[in-house]
Amino acid sequence: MIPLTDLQPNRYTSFPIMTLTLIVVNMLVLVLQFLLLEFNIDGYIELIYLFGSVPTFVISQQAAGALASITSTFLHGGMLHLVGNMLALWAFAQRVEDACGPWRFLAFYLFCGVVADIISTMSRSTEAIPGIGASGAVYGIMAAYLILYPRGRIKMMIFYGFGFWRVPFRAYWVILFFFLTEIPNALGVLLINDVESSVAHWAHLGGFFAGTLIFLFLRPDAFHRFRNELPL
Amino acid sequence: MMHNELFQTAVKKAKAGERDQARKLLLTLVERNPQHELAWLWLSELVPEPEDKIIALENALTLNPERPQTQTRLTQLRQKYPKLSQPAAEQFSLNGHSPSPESLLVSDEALRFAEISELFAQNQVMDGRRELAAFLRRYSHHEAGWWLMVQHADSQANLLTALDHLLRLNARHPEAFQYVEKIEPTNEQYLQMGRLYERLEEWETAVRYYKRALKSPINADRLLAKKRLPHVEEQVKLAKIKFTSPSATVLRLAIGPTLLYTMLIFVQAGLNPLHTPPLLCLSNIAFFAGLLLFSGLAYAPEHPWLDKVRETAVFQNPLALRLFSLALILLPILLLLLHAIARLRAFNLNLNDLL
Repeated sequence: MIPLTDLQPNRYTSFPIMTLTLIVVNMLVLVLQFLLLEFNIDGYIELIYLFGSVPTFVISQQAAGALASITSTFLHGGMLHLVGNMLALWAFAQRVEDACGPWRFLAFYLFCGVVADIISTMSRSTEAIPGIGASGAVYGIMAAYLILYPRGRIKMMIFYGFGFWRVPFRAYWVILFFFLTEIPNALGVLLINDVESSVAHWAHLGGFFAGTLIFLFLRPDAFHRFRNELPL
Repeated sequence: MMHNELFQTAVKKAKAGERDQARKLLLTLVERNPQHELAWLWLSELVPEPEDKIIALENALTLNPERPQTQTRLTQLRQKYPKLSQPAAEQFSLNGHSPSPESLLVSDEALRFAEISELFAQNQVMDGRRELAAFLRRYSHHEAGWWLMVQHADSQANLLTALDHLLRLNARHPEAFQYVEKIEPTNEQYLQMGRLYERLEEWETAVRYYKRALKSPINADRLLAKKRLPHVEEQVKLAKIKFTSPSATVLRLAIGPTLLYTMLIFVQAGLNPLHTPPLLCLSNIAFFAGLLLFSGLAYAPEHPWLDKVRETAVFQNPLALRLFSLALILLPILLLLLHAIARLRAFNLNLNDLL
């Protein structure tokens, strides 16, 4: 099940410039990763370790620290990883950016990414495996969307066998589905110490909880409407 | 025949080129149900006289002010026939009182109105009402005329229409509200009641009537009520709105990015606040101050604290103050970045140990 796009219009702006910029930057970084992988494998590994978030490095105050916390959200493990994250970002971020304005939205996106990284680091503090990906930040955006536009309609792509449907769903169903499926996985990591999992479930949950602070980043008019339960 | 069947038949006939028959059906329909916006719109295409076209379009516009095509067509007609450009006609051919052509030719509005008032004074109510209807077709902006019609309406339907026009011209008419309050509407009049209360800005009552109109037997009423409800419900909420002070807005906008910066410092300190370099602690405070200043200049420029800052010699120039706030924001970011880069340069990654 993959979110494709938001079916409702923006209120304040017509073009989600920062969302698109983030998508383009993420794509360019992946192209750089592919080039390094092709021509300089050591350089690729260095890139992932130095600019991804490695818990042991963070705890021992080595390597890039805060900088890696930001850069790790722009690195991805492959095309599918990137496409999944960017489709979700495109679907949910357009109207969240509209409610925040581009620069506050960027701050919010990074905030969710950094909090997701912190929670992920805490959950696997003894590991030296780099954490990469924008999914923590995307989960934050999803949480913000759920708070701001719970009845928004998201077009989803649902796969069956070799085909797929494109169906609109209410946002709360989509987001709760993604959130609730994370909980048992995250508990699995914590209780069963399921280190084989290549997915940072705690980062997702951390990003999601960070997203509940969206009201700190809303533009004044949107906050005013949100506070008074007017449609955003 | 039900209204919708009548309408559908009329439309079919109009499309088949039987314009006269279609017009007659639509005239019957609007006489039975003056709230049928689409019937007025079709009628505007089928009546031959431009003045009648304008009347029909104005009625359609009154029923649904949000259909842009109606307004466009009306503007076009008024431009094409400037002599008719004064809002001419409303739907007061109710009860079959069609105006005499002579009455429409009367140019002296005040004199004509005085004559009509005189008719009512002499208790010639029927004549007065007929003349008043004709007068109002010509001078639909005449508030006193509509008020007279409200006072002498011969049916509740006419009273509702007259009140609607009166409140459109003057929503604060001192006595109209009493008339509106006394009306006991039928199922088919809930939409009009909603509109009246909407004009009076009695939003909650308007919502109540629009909600009742959602169950009206008339399809057009249900559609119009559905269309108006969100706007009126929003007005109900707006009436109860809580305002946020500019100071609170400034504080809120400064806290968000400061939290981001604090989290970054937290990571830089190895997730142990006690290991935070003092310079970064100071930079966090500067960052927050810069954001407060920057947001303050944008959203609370008249704040007394900002006035105090402006009194200092350095910051009398607004640009200097803005640049200072930007510097307070950007320098801590630069400092954190340099701190991270310095640590990165000092780090020696041994791939063999890791892989």
